[in-house]
Amino acid sequence: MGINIQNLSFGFDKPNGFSFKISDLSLVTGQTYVLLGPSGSGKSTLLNLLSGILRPNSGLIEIAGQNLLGVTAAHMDRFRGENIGFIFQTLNLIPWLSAHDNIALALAFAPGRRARLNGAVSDNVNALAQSMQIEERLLAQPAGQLSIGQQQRVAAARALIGAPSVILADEPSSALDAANTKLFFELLIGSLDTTRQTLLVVSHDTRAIDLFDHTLMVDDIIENRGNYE
Amino acid sequence: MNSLSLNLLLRSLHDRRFSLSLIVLALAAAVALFISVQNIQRMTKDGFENTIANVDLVVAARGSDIQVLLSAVFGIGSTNSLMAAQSVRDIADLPEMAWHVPVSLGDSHKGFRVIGTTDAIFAHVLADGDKRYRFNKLLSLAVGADVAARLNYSVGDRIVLQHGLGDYGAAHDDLSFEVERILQRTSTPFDRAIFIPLQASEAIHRGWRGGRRMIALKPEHVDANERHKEAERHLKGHKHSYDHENEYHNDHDDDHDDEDSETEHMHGPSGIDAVFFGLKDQRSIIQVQREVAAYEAESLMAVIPGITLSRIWQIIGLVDRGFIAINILIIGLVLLSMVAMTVLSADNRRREMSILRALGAAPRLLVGMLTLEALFISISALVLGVVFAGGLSLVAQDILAVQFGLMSDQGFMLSDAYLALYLVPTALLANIFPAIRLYRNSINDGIMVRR
Repeated sequence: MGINIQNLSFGFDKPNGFSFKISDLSLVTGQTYVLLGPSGSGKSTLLNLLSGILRPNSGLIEIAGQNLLGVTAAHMDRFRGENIGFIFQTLNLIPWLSAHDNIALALAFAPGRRARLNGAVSDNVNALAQSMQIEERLLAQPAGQLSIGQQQRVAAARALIGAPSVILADEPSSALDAANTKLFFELLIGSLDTTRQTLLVVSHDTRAIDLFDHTLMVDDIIENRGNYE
Repeated sequence: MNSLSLNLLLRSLHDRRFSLSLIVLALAAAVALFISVQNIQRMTKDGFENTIANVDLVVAARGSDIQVLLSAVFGIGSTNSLMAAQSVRDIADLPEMAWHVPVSLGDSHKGFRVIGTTDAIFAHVLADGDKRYRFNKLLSLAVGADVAARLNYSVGDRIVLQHGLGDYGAAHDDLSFEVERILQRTSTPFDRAIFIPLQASEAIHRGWRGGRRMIALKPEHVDANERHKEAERHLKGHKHSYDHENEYHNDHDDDHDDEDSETEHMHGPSGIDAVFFGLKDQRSIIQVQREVAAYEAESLMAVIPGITLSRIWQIIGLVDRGFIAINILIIGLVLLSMVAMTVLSADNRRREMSILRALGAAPRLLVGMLTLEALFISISALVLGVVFAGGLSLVAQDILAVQFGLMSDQGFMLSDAYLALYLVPTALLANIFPAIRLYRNSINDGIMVRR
């Protein structure tokens, strides 16, 4: 099982904070999922819970066989680095680092991911760049100088390097047109190791949902959404 | 922290090099200011306490030791009474004494005091460069560095002294003196003094009574060829009454009338304000002090200058407290700058830190990076501040010496920078608040980096 959620209850610890419950959500290893829902419906909060940055009030969150509830903060940081690849809505590349180094950055805090590489870091970065159609000359350029589409692919390559168990993507296509959105998801899904990686993309964009194995609707999985009492 | 994150930090610093340089420069300027104030404080105190560092004892008529030094060295106030020439000779004859310099005060020139003394003052008390200087003529004088600078005097100029210390005294305009030497700077009150031969001091007062000149003298009346003879005679008991405008030598004035008839004709002073003594062996200083106190012919005291000057410094501690207050303000400024710098740096790096945290960087690693950055900035600012202060000291050396009379044998001292070392732990302490904030932000931002 890639991701398993049971009886999850969460609420922000502040007056009128957002809260929700998820009774049961299972994402299978090797499958790709898109979670659709409007803004403010709790999609990003779910990603924060899955990444262990936010902690649930109760329930079970299991990723790659590890129950995230009750693990120490330090353990969670290590676990996140090793097992979860992120693609941010705003891409969040470090602008003064080269595209190459931005991709390699995901290995800086994850020795396990680095150990999984086949060959040198640079060779793996180059191979991933090739599969994401990032031209070799662009790898040496500071990420801040790349176009949005190029940055999108670099961000995807950063999430993929070292083959983490789960790839989480938060509205990754929000800045792309329809053609580039389709191309981006094709490249992303094409670069996945479908034997061990699970992809969960949260989006309100329906333009490329046919590329995913499963489409989830936020209203179907998130219950009792409302202000925290 | 592994090499990759260290590399990341270095590249982040490189990327922000312009803003960081400004921060480091601002902090370095504050550090340089702090060190310079420390340096000036030390120079002021050292200069004060070492005013007559070569002098082991100052002997004068019994009174307050502070009063003796203030009058004999700083030209403030006066001694209670004069020492008789015989007393000076007796004390100088003590076997422990190596040399002595009598000083006779009372006249002035354009606000600068005139000191009647002997060649020994150049050999033993003033700057090394003037050690070999001797008065060549009776009506010659040497001017302190400040006097020469302020009044724009040079060798060969002729000047007239004023009777007494105030502006209202009559001038000794019957006899003019030739400037024979511009003395090297000593950073002591002697820089603001004019030195004339003791015999000349006595000679120009011939014919004066009750603060008025009764007989005008001509230069030939004080034949320069007699100088050496007078030098031997001046402490051999010839009586002379000093007569100064301020009438501050009360004991002396008591017998003024009786001596009037002799005053106009006698050579050599009947009294000396104070005598600087050098000992053959400084270990005998207490012994000599006792011997002076026990001197029977006259009531005398021997003052150890270093001790009394320290006491005076403590009494006028306002200067010291002023420096401390300035330093506290500067430390506060440095501390505030450091906190502002760290908060700004953390805010600027909030996005970067959130990305790193989402990629698996532990908060302690992020805090470590921030701490290392604060360490780097504080050490850079410290080193640069010390270099600035050293350079400033080098550049301002002459200005400090000429304009403020501040001079130090050691010049800029690294020891003045020791306190600035506290900048480093300060930087680390100042780092705690933004680091906690950064940790909270990285949690709150999650993977939705808001900036």
